[in-house]
Amino acid sequence: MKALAVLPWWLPAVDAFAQPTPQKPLDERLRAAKVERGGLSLDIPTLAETGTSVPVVLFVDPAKLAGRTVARLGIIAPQNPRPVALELELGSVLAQPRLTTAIRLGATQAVIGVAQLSDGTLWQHAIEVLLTGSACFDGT
Amino acid sequence: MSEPIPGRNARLLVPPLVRTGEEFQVRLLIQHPMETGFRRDVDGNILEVNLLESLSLDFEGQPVFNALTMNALTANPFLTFVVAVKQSGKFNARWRDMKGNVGSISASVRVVAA
Repeated sequence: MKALAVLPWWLPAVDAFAQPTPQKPLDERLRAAKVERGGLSLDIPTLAETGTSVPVVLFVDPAKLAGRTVARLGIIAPQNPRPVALELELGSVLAQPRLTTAIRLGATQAVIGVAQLSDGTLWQHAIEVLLTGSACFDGT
Repeated sequence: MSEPIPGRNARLLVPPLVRTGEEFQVRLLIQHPMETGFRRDVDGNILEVNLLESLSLDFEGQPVFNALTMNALTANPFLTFVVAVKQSGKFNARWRDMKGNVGSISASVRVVAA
């Protein structure tokens, strides 16, 4: 279990996105994690004028929770110089598992939203974002 | 003119009065450059990376959220959450950046019977 703890919690969701048809997970240790689509929605413009500020809304359909709670929300931008854009632990005061903010994007890419439920299930939603201007002007 | 300390200037917006259990928005805005370390100044020197390292918001000790990673938040991060509380109290946000600057802000909400 120690080894599993060092792997980032959102990794299976990114892995599932990279392999649309279910194949062997990148790592054997991830096999236990269940990745589903449909419960989480990532709301992000598909055409962003500038990467320096792209508005995002990440929200979970409460009807699909079935008694579970959302433990973590994450946004992964694989083509960014730092791919893990945002990772949050959610607390008990929240009335809705919903996050509104703005992120930076370095390139045209599929942005992946991930939610981890209290039972370990991962919900994933990816949106292809076309960028006309990058947040990185230095060739990174 | 002295430079403002990054992250010292912030807003935490909550409605002053809500009903018991009513859902309302909490909006947090922190003035911070969120320097990525990938930009250069006019002389070509790399601007030192300075992102927020930790950021959390709680209501009377109960967590609203705790950010683990904020690599791609924009300059002057703005976050909105929907919360519900049962009694009057204070929201408290605190943060620290990579240069060790810390900041905090709080806002009170009064709860009246539904």
